[in-house]
Amino acid sequence: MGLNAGAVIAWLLENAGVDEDEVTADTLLFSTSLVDSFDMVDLVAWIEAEAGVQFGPLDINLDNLDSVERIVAFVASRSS
Amino acid sequence: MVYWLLIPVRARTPFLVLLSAAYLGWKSPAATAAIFLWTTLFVWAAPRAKTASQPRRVTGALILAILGWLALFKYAPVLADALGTTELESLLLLPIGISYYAFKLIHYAVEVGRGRIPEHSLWDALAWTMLFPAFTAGPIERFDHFLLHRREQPSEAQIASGITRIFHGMIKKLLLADGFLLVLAGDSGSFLATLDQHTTLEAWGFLFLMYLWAYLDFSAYSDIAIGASRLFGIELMENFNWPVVAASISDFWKRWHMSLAAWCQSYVYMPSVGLTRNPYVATYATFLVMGMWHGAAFNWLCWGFFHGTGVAVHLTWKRYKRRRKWHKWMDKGAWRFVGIPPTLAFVTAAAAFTTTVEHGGWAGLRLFAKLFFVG
Repeated sequence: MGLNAGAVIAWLLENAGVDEDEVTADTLLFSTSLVDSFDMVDLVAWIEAEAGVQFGPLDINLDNLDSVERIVAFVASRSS
Repeated sequence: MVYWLLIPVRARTPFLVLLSAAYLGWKSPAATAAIFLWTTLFVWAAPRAKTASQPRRVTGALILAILGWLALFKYAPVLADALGTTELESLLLLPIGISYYAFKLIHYAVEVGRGRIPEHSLWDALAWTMLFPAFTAGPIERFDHFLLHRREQPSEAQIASGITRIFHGMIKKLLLADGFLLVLAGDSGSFLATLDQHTTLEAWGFLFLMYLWAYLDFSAYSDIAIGASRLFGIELMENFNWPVVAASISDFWKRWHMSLAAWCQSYVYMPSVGLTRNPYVATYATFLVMGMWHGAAFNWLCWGFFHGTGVAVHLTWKRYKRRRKWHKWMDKGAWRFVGIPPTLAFVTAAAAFTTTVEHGGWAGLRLFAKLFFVG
């Protein structure tokens, strides 16, 4: 199962208090504190449930989570 | 001027290394040798993680090694003292900059292992770890940021802004911090000795001055480091962004010692989330590490625990607001400033632990309790 950018953005708007005009596919999320660190846990849980992928302990890092496009890329790499 | 006019481009990085080594060697030859050897080891070993059969073991071994070195100098003497053996303290004098370069090297090992660091030489790595303006008081510069933000040609504007920044730092440190605030606040030992004669309001006033002193003192060192680095065409990470106007404790940690906070987010908070899936555990782990990074004292543990509690409470409140859609009006307009006074009060209260480090944990707790009319 994959995950598209639209679904991730929709989750951020609904659950992370982000405004529509604040986020695009390449907006940095956690390193800019646009999304707070508590939301990282919920986001990871949602990605795992929605996309059917598993984050290993060391997969939770900015490379994989700091933007919508990085999240989509990580899910794609785990799904292939 | 010598650097730009007389040193050829290819020789500038080695020159900067030699200049840094000369300065650090004058202060402590042993510490300089140590940082040289550690950097060389990491530059040799860290890339092997990419091709090793068990890459995480290589990275893990490097991290454990540098943490062991840090723990030996930072915590072993304290432990020995607690056990009644004081000789260790004189044998293991804390090498200068050890907390900073230990964290830099951990970042290096992890990011090289992930393949995130561009091609570089040993000279590049040594220039980064030994950079003399930032060696003793940070910022904790990321290596990828360092490699990307160096100029090969001088910039008048950068040099001018570097000189200005150095002056700002010196004015902050010499005039505002030490020349005014410290004189106004007085000596912490004297204040503690007469604590029962002071009112709660006076305790708050004393700690507020000490918090402002700590901010101006520490940010001054960052200003001087950033300014001096600009003279060599290097743009370091910023470390402070007006924490006195932070509207929440979470906002405070996006403005105070930003390089340490970013390091801890990457290398403590996220792995902790990965292991536990619990943001509270990850938050407390992060702040306890931050506390212990500052020093091996009960006061710093209290400070870390206090700040961790503040962040945990604030982020819980933020979730509560969001679920009720209150954030749509509470985080806009004039409401955004409502949080500034309580945040200032919170970080002022935390200064009870840091101001009393040399007086011990009990002194810190007494002073903290005084803020709430106890004692």
